[in-house]
Amino acid sequence: MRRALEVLEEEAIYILREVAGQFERPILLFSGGKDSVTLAHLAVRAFAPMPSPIGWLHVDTGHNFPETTAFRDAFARELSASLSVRYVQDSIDAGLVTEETGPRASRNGLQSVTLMSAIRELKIDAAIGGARRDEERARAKERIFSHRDAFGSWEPRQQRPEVWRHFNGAKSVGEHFRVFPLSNWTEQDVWAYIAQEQLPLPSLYFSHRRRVFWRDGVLFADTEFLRPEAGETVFEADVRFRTVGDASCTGAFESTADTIEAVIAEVAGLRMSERAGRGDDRRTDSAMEDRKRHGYF
Amino acid sequence: MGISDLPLVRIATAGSVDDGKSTLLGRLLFETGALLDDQVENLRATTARRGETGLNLALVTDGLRAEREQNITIDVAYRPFWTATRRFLLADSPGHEQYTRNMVTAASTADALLVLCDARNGASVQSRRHLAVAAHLGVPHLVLVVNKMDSVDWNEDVYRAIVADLTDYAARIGAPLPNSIPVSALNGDNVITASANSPWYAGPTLLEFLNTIPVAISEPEAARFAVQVVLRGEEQARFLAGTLEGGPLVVGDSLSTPDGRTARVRTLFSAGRETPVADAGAPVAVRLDTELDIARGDVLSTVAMPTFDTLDCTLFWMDSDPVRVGMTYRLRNGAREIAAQVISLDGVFDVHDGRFTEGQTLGLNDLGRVRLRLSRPEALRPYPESRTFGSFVLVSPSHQTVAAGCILELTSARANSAPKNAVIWLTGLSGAGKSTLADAFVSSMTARGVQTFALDGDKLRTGLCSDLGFSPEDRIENIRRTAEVAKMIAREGTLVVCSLISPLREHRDLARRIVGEGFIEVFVDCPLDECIRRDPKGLYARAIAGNLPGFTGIGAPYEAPESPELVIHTATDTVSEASEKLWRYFSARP
Repeated sequence: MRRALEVLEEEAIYILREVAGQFERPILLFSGGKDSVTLAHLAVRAFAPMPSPIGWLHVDTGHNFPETTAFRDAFARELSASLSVRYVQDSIDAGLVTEETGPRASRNGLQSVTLMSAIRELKIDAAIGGARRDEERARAKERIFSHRDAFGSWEPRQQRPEVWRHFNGAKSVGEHFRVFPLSNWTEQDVWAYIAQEQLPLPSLYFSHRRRVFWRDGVLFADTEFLRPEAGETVFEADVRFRTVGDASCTGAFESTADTIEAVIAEVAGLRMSERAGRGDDRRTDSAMEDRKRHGYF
Repeated sequence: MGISDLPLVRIATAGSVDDGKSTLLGRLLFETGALLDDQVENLRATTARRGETGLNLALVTDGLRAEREQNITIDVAYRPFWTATRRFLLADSPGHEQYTRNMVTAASTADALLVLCDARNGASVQSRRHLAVAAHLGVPHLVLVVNKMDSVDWNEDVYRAIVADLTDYAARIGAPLPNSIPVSALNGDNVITASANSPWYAGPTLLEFLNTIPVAISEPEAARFAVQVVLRGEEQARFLAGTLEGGPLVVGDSLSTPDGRTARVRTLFSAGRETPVADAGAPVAVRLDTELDIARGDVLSTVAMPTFDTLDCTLFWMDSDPVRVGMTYRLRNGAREIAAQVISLDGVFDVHDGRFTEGQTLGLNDLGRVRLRLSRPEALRPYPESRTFGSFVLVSPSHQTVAAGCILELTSARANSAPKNAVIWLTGLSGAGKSTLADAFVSSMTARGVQTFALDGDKLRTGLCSDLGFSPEDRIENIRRTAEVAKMIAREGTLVVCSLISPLREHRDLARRIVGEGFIEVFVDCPLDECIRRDPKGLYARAIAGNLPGFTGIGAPYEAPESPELVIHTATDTVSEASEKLWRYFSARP
């Protein structure tokens, strides 16, 4: 009997190879987070010993932790990946989107617009993401090959039946697909794979000392993108991040896990879900579904 | 050891809309600890907002806004959970008839299917439909879960009646239903822990059942894969990538295409790393020792696969436009896409009596028997033998996935038989490569669907001709017997390949006279010194040492053919090139 991780690895490689086989201009959405690191590594393994035919795209909100951006560039160099970066700031400057204001403002939702611009500009017909079904309930509903209309919208009630492994990537001009090779992985699988393959990660994932403050039950880092309001006390603590998103919406938690082994042991015992620390998902019951309908990944 | 090291078991659910499926799954997730504290808190809050108390476990798997609003499941939700020994991937599929196609999605890859039934209502039409879908999809393990037993006061007779009803139905459609469990998802009876309410039930709880079903799949010994991508780099080398069904595949193994081209595995990668051997299920990349013209969708196999162009199959129709006889769809099987025309609609499944009956139309959520004709012959297999090569989807001109199909029977409209009375006679020195060429050619012809039979001189001498030696008379008798047998076999429509040294012209002329029309003399030419160098059986060494008098080439002459139909030079051609030449000559014959 094969181990789950071996089965999941094969599944991901099979999917990536189908993408290369069915699409003209696939791209891998690379954020520098652990899921996209895993995905990028798999996209190398799937085509080894030849170079991976899939380039990377990062939609940079401008609110990323500097550790993430530095890691992104170093990792792309290490894997000789062709990395394109598109900036939410450019969409704002072009008047395509209006930035939210106020202390709870987030650029998270604006990414969808920049992403769609990049998809049109680069004529991308398949955008590969590291989203997993165990993360969030709308994602639990998503197909592996997920069709998007010309506006990038997800229509959850009209999803194509996805039977066996005969992925149907047929589409009309202007439409594209989002593809999720890690659909059936869990957070624990990603960490087990990172340990097995000895993949590098941004330092944010490991325990470090940082100035933080509490807001709405989430422990935020004190950064230029998010300042404490009156009454919110900044303090120093040993923290790490479970997900790596915008500094303005990604919460940390107190942890002393500073190695992969310690993180794995910690994750196996955590009783809070992975995205519990994401301000962007806590807005409403259907926050993710609504964003996905509008082109979010 | 973490959850990533456990075996992965895929389970799916089916049941009618009010059978309490979502509650049961919520219960499974909650009690196995797969629901985390914040998710439980969210659930508590959502439950309270709906004016209910406690935890409404039915809300756990409903992910879409419309599902929460309408209190139904619309699409499949995939949720992981685990026990100490197994890792489960749960596909929760909708109960409404209009969403049956999503249930097909969930069940197609499942190791086990839970068919739910409401104890108060008995077996519904939807339970029967789901059971039929599961049966035709060949889901390995079916279990009937009779839910809401608390609403019928845990009445054993009610339970037994439902089980008898559906077991009967399952038997009629050829799907044994050996397992059933009485539960109350609402209260948690017999889901994780055995209930005191059902002293009359001695079987496992649902979780115990899931923890113990055998899930080992039997893989065929022959390794095969459809090429997903041809990997090219800056160098000339090309790698063919795909996932192995069957195995193991070993460096040096011979791989054939269905049209009979053959080469050996020179370099092998599994999941991106070089390896001498890859097991069944591994994602491989293969470099062959001979460059064959291979594209995405081509199938490579260690045992040649025959091709067919006519498929009789079970079809699950999933589109609002019904199937149209005469219409051409695109059939997708993994990396392959082939035009497929619907030739006939041979039956429509009647859910009520569990039989296929004559029908004029196959519409959304219907199950039917259909015959398809492919635009070209393809290497496919019956579904019971291979989920990978025996299933497919149909894609409409407007790109929709309109049907899922399971192949029942494969045939060919075009006759694949060889020209009558063809006997290919390979002559040449010992060690020239006659038997090797014959083997490669036979497997390539078999792959093309041509029935081919090899008669090998060395093998004949161990049986039919074991009384013969190497005297001139015995050699002639050896040739005579072989040619007579070849003629008999060829008359039955089988192509025969004989490999015998047959050193003298009179030998070959004798064979030609016996066989008559259809005799093809092929000179397998290899210089004597090269044969001596190869000396695969050590015979030349013995002959040169004087221990094998009368050995052709050393102590006895070999008369090269003066006008053979074909000459093949094995000192310069590889085995697959030689086999290709033979094929080209053979197929170009009138």
